Amino acid sequence: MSDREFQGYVHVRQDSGQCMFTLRANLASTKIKAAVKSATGVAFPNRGLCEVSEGCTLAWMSPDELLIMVPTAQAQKLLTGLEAALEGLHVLLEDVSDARAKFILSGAHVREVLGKLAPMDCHPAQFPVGSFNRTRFAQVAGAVFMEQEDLISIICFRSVQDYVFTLFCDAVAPGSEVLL
Amino acid sequence: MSTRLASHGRLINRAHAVTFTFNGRVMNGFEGDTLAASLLANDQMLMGRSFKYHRPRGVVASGGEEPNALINLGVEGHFEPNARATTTETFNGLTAASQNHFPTLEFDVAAINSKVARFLPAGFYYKMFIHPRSFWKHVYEPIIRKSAGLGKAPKARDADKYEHFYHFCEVMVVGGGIAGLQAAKTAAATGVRVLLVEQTAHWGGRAPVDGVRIEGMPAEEWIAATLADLAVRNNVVIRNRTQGSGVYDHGYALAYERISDHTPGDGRPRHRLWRVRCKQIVTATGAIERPLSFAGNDIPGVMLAAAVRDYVVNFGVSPGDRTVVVTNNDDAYRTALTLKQAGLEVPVILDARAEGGGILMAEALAAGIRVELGRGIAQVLGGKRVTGVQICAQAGEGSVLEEIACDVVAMSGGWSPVVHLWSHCGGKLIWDLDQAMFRPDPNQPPLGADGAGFVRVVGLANGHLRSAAALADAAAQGAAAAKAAGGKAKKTAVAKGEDAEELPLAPVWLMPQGASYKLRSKAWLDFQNDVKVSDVQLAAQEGFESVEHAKRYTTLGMATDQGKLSNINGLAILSKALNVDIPDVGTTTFRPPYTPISMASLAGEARGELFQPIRKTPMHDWHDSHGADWEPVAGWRRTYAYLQPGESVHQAVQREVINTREKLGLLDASTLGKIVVKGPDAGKFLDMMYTNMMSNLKPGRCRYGLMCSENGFLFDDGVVARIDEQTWLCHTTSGGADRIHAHMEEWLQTEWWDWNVWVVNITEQLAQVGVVGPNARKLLEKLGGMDVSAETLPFMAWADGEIGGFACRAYRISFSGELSYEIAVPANRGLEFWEMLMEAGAEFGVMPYGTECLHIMRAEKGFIMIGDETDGTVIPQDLGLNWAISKKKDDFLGKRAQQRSFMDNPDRWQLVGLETLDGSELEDGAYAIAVGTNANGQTNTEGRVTSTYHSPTMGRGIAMGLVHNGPARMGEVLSFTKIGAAPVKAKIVSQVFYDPEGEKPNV
Amino acid sequence: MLILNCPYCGREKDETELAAGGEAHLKRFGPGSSDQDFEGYLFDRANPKGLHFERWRCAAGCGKWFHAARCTATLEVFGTYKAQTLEPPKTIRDAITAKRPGWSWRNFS
Repeated sequence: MSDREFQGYVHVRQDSGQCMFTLRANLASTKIKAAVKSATGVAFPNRGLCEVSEGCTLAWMSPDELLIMVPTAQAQKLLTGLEAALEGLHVLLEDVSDARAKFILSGAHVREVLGKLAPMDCHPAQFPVGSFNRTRFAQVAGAVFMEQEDLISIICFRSVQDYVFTLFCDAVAPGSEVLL
Repeated sequence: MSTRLASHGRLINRAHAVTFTFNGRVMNGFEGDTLAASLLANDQMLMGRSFKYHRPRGVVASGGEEPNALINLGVEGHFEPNARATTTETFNGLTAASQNHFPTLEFDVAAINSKVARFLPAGFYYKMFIHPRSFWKHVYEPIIRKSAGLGKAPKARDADKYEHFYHFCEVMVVGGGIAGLQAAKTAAATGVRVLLVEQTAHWGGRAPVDGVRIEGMPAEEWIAATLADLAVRNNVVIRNRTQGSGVYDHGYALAYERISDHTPGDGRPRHRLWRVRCKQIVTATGAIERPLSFAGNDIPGVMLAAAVRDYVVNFGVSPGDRTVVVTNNDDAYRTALTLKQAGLEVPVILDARAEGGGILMAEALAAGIRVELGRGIAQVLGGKRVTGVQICAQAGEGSVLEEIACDVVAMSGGWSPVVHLWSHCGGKLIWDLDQAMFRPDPNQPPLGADGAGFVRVVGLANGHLRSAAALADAAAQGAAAAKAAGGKAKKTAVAKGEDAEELPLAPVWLMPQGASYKLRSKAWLDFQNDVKVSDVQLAAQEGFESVEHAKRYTTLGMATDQGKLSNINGLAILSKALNVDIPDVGTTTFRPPYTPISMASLAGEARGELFQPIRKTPMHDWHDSHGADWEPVAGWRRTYAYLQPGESVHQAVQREVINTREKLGLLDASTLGKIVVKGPDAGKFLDMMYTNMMSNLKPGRCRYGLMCSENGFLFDDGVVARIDEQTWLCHTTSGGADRIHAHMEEWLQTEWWDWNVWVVNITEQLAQVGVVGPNARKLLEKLGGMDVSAETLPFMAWADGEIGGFACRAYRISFSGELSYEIAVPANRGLEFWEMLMEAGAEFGVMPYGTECLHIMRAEKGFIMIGDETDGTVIPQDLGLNWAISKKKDDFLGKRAQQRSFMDNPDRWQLVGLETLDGSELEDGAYAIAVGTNANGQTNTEGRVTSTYHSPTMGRGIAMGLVHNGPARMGEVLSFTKIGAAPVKAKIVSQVFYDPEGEKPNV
Repeated sequence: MLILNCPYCGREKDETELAAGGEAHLKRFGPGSSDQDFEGYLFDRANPKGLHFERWRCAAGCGKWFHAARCTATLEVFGTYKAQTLEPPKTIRDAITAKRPGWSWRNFS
């Protein structure tokens, strides 16, 4: 994947330097929580949230699904550690790095750009920094992580990455500011 | 003559003149004008022609309710028909043209329709065009189509940008008049998020025009101060040029922002559709003045009284030198006073009320204006412009008492609250007898998700015609809305409004009340669709008693203005004709949007490249640059065939089949669904999902499996590989990946939630390549890595390893009947892997092949394809797949269904091969013709073709089909339908045309 | 357009993010069941004007199936709850009773 970018009134950039793993497991289980925490060193995220530490991100996808994101360089080590920590537990851990595409929106107006494409309340009180949500961007499913007040990560499926990139480039076209 | 005044014009900037064209004529206007104001300033009262009679029509209103002044706006990619001149802001370079006339606006040959109006009564179309039947298609329809529609359809692609915006708030206030401002201010004070929208470019609504004072200051000052107060609050979003267009369930509302209609080409989107979710909606949408129904009320120059006032006060435009005011209420006196004050003549005010009005009448008399009480208009004189009026007694039948010359008639029949948004989602109305209007019934609001009302109507729209009451209402309801939406109660002061006391109006539905047929047939109700008082009366006489029926029969209110001026007058006429009260007739249904909004705004970003997401495999771009002829498959684009220079699609497909059978082909199979199923109960689960047994599959091995719905019908198939003790990988069809993944999740979540099974869809994680053909193994061995020999990797086995340096998983499976490997690599490396295979395969004659080649090869082998051999009514037993249905299992999805008498029965249409006697191809979907006819007189059938191709391998047409008791009828010859030709004879044969022993893949 | 609260991800979801799944609380009848029971399971669906129990999936969200008790006429939502249950939980039944005393639906009341 190429790290394409577009400078509109918000900057759009593809970030292919991340590996992603899907963990299907009972997230309410203390054993699972402990295993994930020990292998990643990241606090276990509560419902609707992300936790980040040392470049590793844990995102709450559903009551039994966790998304683990880590820079490619750290991926193999993390995977080995996770597999060891989860040994013997009823889980399914799959590498989905190639199945997903990640984009980063940055700029002062990231929230309203999200508001053009996702039917979600992007107000800071409703979607504070650290929040994670699965929704749709126009016609495709995706996930959004509010990393910083002016930085949002977007995750979508690989097959529609061109659509999603074009979608956000279109939404950040200069002159189309909503300016709430 | 209409012209620009030297005085007045609060909304225009005289320092900034603009130039525009109307029907090619260059005209001048000012920044801040509406197009209607600019046209009037250029003495262009005639703005269009009516729909049915092509009558000359001038502007009648000053806002969104305008029925007449519709224009073709813009050119080429910026062209839009039926734009209202009253809501179009004039800008430099604007191009406008009038519509619905031939050859010119001034002279229209179709105006003859008006002369034959008595032959074109209500329901004319229904009565006329049904006889003779044969005339419809060739005579009537073409003529009606040609005369239908007002504006021209755009020819060029829309050049502008449009977008959506999802907005969430607690309280949405629609309407930026004084009531809307007050409601927003009160709600905002509680701290909740407030969205305030106003459809025009200006705030304050009618109050500044009507001379309202608030808090002791002119309304304009209070409006500016309130707006400034709202603007600094960070919990308030305010937008002008944004119409609250529709209210829907659960607090969903649409607002239509016209961002750059008035500044085209400045790089901004043209429209933005706000998709609002809120807890409470306050509509402060004002009221619309009603016309009066008198003969000739459609002649250009007859206008609503408040509109006349608007043009003078807001735009400094005089609609004419001499204006006769005709009214049934006090408000219209303001127009007379305004005109007089602007130095224009008001020869007479005709007040239909015998007792006349109050303070405002006294002011008019004091200003020296003649006032006639109990009088009305018998008939307006003039053709393309008003030249005078004939006065009569309102109580009489229209005997002319006097003729007065004038060039404008300002009429007022009272006010109708704009209750549209209240009604969109089910709010009910009550008839206010005193004010002769429908207003919202506060006891029957539209209900939200919590079962409580979520829309409130305030101000004029709630029937409060006086500013003090309107402001008090707005403040109270703004606070109540905020409280209902979770705001903290906070006391805020209510602005005090002052305006002149008014006496009640007297309802006047026809002028004069006893008007003769001749007058009634010239008294217009619906100006755009040409519906007159006499038409509605005829509808009632002919039995159309329901208002909804009468509407459709007469087309009253069915024009682009949706009857904003005509509805109440029309149903009052109907109620009188039926001799029932107005509320018993009821209203027609108000539906969103409030005024027409652009189709492009509804599409938003979904046009051109973004019209539909296209799913691409990792090798998509390679295919594209190697002659791919694309085929849409479940959102993906797959290559149908790779065209070489000079080849037709058919030739390419035939070449690909032959090359793959004889040498080596590559297939991009990445779209196939790949679902990992894992857990202690995974085997048990898959035994439920598939008709065959999956729990006893050995690790390292593959098995073809079938999936049925609970109704027994086959709906997906694919190869399942057992990975380890607790893990299986299920391949699905390309179209089935998401569906089957969801299907598995559904059963795990909702039926067997105590089973320990996890499922992950890894379809897009892997690029999968089919390496197919007699040279397949040679290629893989050349690249080196894992052992792909028949001994180590036999047919229907899989193994992990490395090929040419790529970590991969290789499956020995074949859908083509050839020696075949399917090799999965991480998607990010898919393209590299593909290119390596292409390069290394050159010496073995490698060629990529597409989906049609795949289809032909599988048909030659008699393999079924989901969607060809199945259509949701076919069970596996119909396809000879009994071998894949486990008899050992107690249960699987579809098992119980297949035990039903009509499924557990050989007397069905079953799969066979078909060979035409002449070698031609059967038509896809062709039916086998049986003896006799059915109850409908149709020829009986006994089978149909499900797949049919020209097989290059066989050198002839081959087909598969479902035939009644087919397998038992081998060798029989059937006749198959062929569209437009004689039936084709075909013999029933085995569906396995190629390599019936299955030796080729198993080497 | 409805909004429903997904009891799994805890978010208010727009109807465009959800997929409707028909009547809730169906009991599966498999091999060995009578024709009548099987027909009822497969085809007999209530279509009430008023209170209804429905299945919904948080399709563009967490992917979970949940149930909603709502009025098909007024669109009032009495509550949503997780699908891993054979009957509406007491809190939901109480919420309905508060708004629609004396209600009944299939075997529930």
